[in-house]
Amino acid sequence: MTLASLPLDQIAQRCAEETQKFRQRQPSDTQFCFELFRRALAEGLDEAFTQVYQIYEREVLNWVYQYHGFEQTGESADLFVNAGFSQFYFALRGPNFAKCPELPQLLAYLKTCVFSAIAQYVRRYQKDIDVEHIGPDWDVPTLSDSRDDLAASEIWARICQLTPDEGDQLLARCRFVEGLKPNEIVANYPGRWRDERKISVALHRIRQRLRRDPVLRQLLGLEEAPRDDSDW
Amino acid sequence: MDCSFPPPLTTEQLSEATDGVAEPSIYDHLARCPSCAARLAAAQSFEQRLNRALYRWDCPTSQQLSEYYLGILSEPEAEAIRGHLAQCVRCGEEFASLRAFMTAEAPRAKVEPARPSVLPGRLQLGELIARLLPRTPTLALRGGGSSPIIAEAGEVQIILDAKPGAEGKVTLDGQVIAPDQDRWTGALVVVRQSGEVLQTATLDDLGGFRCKALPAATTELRLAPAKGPMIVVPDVDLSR
Repeated sequence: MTLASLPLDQIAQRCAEETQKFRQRQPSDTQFCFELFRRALAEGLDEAFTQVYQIYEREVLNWVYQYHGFEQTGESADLFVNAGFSQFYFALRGPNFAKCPELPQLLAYLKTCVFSAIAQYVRRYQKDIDVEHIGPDWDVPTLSDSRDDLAASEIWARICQLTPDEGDQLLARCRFVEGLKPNEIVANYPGRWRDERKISVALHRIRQRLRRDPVLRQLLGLEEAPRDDSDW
Repeated sequence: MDCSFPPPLTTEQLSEATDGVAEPSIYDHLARCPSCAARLAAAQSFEQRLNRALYRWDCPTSQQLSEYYLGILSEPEAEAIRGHLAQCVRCGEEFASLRAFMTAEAPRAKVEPARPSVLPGRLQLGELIARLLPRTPTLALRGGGSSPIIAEAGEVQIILDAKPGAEGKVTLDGQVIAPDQDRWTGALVVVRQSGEVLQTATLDDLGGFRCKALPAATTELRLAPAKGPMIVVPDVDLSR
């Protein structure tokens, strides 16, 4: 009898048994779990994915707690367990299942899904949102790409036009795209800028140019700049 | 509004305060002068708009970095990410963090962390918590059951119909209705009771799903599309 012809509940039971052996650092047979993942993802069987969820949820939860970035989020682990499994499901279903031809690769991919669920969350939200000050009518941004990348590319293109100097452009990128603080810029570009004060002086010059530009202000949805700097 | 302690701070001084490198006297002035503090707030507001629009806009996603780490990208894709990593500090940091996470040994001790449930009324970023609408009382008809459960999350409606089945179990039929209906085709549904996953399902191209033989108990549903926030429907009482 081939693996593919075994009933699902037998495959799931053997997978659970072999997974338990693996957790106890005993020799284990990977074929049953691989078959379970294959049925869940390549064949799209909901019952098989339920079994995957039930067998591996504990590992995924432990991974969430293991990743130091999780503590920054202030969220419950459940959010990232579910987000990790969802990402895994959508990334490897159907023909994409062929990306991971063995069980260790599948589990490594699942683990990276935990990482990317948390890391992407941190990217999107921790930069500009102070969670303590969220009001009742705050509009929840989506986890998917809610920003208009076209708008971002237009804004960046305009900034490049306004900062023809290569050093200014690099500084603008460090500050506005990567969100680096002056001390981080000094640390990562030693020799380029002597200290934080020099960076602040250069940023001031760049900021003045950007704030006064009507094209950039329009792209950012702002009114015309004031005639003087009195509202700085 | 005029400066309370003239002369007002210069734009250079405000820029230094924005960067956190100003002299202590500047921060003292800002703490005591509403006018200069308002000017600083305006400057920071402009900066925040720029950051929001541009923050890591052209960086690969965390998932792309992960696939690069696993070595499953095509060579052109991998080459593009290598090039980006060579010049992006944030992606370099994130990639180092990924590498450390993937190579860290799992703790040998059995770790059973506490599992917090969905806190009622708490807004979890990245998830929308659906609100259950009051159920409409229906007339008692022969063969009739209770009215469907309707939940709302933003512009999305989830209609749930629980029908009694054999051995006291319930068949749950669900329907998602959304302005962007296509986004919900193929979405993953996870059904939990008492924190345990009972079933998963996939939404069909009409936004429908079915879960059979569920215990008639309080149930949590999570609906995750490929893109966009997950919707959580907590505390669905299947026993009524």
